Amino acid sequence: MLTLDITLLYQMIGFVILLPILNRLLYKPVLKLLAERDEKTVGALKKASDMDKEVADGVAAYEKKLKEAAIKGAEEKNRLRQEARACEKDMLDKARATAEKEAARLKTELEKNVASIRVSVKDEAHRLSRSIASKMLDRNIAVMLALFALTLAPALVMASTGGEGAAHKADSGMLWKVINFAILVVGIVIIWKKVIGKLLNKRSVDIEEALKSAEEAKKTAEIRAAEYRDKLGELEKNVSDVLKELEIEGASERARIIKEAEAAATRLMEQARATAAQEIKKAKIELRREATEIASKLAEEILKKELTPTDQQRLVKDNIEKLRLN
Amino acid sequence: MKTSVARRYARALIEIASETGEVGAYGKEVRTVYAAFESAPELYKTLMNPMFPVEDRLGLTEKVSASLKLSKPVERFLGILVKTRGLRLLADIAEAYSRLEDDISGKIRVTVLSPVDMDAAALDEIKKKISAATGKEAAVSCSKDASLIGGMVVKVGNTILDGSLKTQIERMKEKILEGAI
Repeated sequence: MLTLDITLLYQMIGFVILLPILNRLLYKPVLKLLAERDEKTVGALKKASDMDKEVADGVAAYEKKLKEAAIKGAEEKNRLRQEARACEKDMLDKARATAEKEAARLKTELEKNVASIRVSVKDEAHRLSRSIASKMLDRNIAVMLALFALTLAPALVMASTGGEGAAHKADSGMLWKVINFAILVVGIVIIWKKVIGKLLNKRSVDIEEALKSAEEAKKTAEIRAAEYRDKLGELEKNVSDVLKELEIEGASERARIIKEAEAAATRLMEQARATAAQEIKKAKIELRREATEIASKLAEEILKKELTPTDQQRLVKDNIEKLRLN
Repeated sequence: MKTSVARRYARALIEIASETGEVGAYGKEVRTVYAAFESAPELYKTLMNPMFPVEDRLGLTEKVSASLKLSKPVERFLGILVKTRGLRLLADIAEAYSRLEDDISGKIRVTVLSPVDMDAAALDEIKKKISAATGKEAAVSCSKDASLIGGMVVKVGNTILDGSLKTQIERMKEKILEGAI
């Protein structure tokens, strides 16, 4: 039969003493570890999601930048052409320098952004690698269990040695103590198997799943990050290609316009010279014609006035002498 | 083209005239007809106008022939010209006929142009020189042209020998304009 004796008091005192000790040495560290594990699994998932969002935003922003660069480049090209037509070689050089500067700025900005994103990807990879290390929680649980066993042992010992005083009083009390100890052991074993064991098993499964999810999330994030890097590389290349193409077109246009301008200038000079020469020639011919006309008219008048019959006879005579019929 | 057609008409007429030995008479008649048409241009236009029936125009030709007392061959020749619309070539035909007539008779027509009257000795000298050169008898006629200023122009058939001062001045003008002087 169960009896209420001093042993119960000892047990209660032992429980009261053990409670703060266990609380400090076991419960709080365990809870802390659980919180950290949550941070490493759920937090990692959240970070992976954030990274995905950041990557998507970054891609959209860079695509926008690429379009803007293309539009800007086209506008710049038009401007270059118009200025080249309107102004000449110097203006074209300035436009080309502006285009090169703009291209360099965009390239620098792009490189900076790519470097920043690469750093963030590395950090995230580190965090995820730490999540992977959460597998080490398995070892922590074993440590906790050892601590738990160690902290529980004195109670068990204490429970097993609690009825020594009563043995002196009666031998039959020894049986009850053994039964009491056995009940305690059975109770602990039952509680261990039914509640704590299940909880620990469930907890272990949950942790494994969480770790798996974190691992998958990390892999997905890494894949996306890699894709993003590739895309960034392409975007950088595309922007570079667009700018290079515009630069080549601008240079070609410039060369053509300059060549045409030079040719036009040469033609204009030649035309001007030819026109001047033509005008001079025309004027000379006109002057010669006028002078000849005047001279011939004057000659006619002089001849009409001064031609004597003797002259006429001489002319007739000369003509007759020269008469030849072939 | 026009001249060659006129020459063919003239050759046809002169061949007919040669057969009857009336080359000179036919030539004179052709020139008379042309002179008549020149003095009556309305008549000439009417005969050439295809709006009038050929029969009417042929009737009119007969009247003209009767009036000018043309020989039958010349009258028929005019009728042919009306039918074939060759009447418009009458001046050229008359000219071609005269040349053919000169060829047949062994003559060559020479026209001398001068700003003043030519003396007979000079004309005679020209006649001799051309006759010697062509082997034909030169028929020299003389005309005055004051615009020649001085010297003379001799026309022998289609050949023009220009020795006038006017032409010499023109040649000099051309040389000056060409820069040769």
